[in-house]
Amino acid sequence: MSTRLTVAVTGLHAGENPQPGVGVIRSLRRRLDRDDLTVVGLVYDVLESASYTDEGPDVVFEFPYPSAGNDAMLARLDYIMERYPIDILIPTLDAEIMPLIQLNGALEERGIRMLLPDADAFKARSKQKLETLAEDCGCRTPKSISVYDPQGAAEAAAELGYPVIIKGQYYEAYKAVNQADLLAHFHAIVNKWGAPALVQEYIDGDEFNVIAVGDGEGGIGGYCTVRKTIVSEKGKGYGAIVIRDETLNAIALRIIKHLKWRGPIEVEFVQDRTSGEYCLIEVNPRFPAWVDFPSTFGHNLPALLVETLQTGTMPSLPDYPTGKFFLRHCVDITCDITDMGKLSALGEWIRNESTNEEVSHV
Amino acid sequence: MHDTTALKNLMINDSGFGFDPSTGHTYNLSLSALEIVRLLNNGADEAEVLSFLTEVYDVEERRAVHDLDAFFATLCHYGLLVQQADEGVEA
Repeated sequence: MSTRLTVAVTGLHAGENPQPGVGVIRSLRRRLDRDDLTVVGLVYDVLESASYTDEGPDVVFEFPYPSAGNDAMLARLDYIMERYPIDILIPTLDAEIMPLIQLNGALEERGIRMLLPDADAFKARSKQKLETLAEDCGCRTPKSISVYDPQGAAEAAAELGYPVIIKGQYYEAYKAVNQADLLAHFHAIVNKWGAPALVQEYIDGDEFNVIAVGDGEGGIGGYCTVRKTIVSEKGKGYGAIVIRDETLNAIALRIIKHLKWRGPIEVEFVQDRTSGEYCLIEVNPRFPAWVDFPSTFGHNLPALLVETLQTGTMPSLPDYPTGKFFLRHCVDITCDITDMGKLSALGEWIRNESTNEEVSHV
Repeated sequence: MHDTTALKNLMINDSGFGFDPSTGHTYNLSLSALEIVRLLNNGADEAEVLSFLTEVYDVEERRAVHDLDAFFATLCHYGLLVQQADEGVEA
């Protein structure tokens, strides 16, 4: 990886519910220095915090939400490509993946490569299809019911018995202990992510995540398994420790093999405290926010992705070590209103570029 | 009799800090607990551990049996020891 490379990354918000793009950029910078790598940040909001950090992207462009349609995304990419010809795009948000699968051919024509699953694999891991996937792979999953209205949510919870977990179709999951709790979360989730929401049986136990990059033929280039040690109110892992449990790893790799997954993936489990069984709770079609943690001990999956797209061959990483752990450590960053002004007014911001966009009294 | 497979998987330093790489759980062992774990992992049976405790710690056998049972129960609770069924009962 010695020729200059331009990689576009999404998901740059690193606040309360951190997105994976920040970790992806950090991992790439561990492998490639700034002379060899230009990172283009694609943001939906001028407050995506990594836009302004020194370790963030070299340039930032506002990008249309996937709901604006594929043509809008393509038009914006064409504009960006005039100045920064993107070699590789690494989407990190769930809602981006399907539109980009559909645009894969158009992007390839423009010289942009991505490592994404095919549409069937993407759909097969959706929250609504999890029971079928678990059954096909011989593992347990909590019983889940898709709900479209408050009455449906209440009926589903009554059937499953409280407490239940209520989830958005893309993000967010909350434990509801009674109907009032459930309906408050239902409205918040559906307003934000649209219907359906998912009401899921609650299983008490530790949570485990497996991160991997699949080769599209059932194999993987590398993976790493952690147990969450600190879980935020939103269910996010704010601390985790690397573990090696052969039973758990076998289930996760079986799922990836069954899906013939291509690209980044995170498989989430909860271990039933009573039976000790691992239950599949989610399959995310992207890198997780903790993607940079394995990179710190040489298990650099974003760099593996880039190398795969550059060489056409997926390298195979050695086994990961156990005993490493991370603690999420939040810091406040100082930003300048002038920088935000450029991004907000022009829709783009180039680090260290001076323009006449000073914000002052008029 | 106990199955010590999980206990043998435990990584322990000389201060008694233990890490189970299969679960990610960590433990703090007292120095006497550390010695018992080392004995078990080297193949000692319960009678040998008991003999060690009464000789080294100058403790009555009745008290040592009680403490060892309690320690084994703790190890079983954390899944580090698994109680095996007795092979037979003497008349």
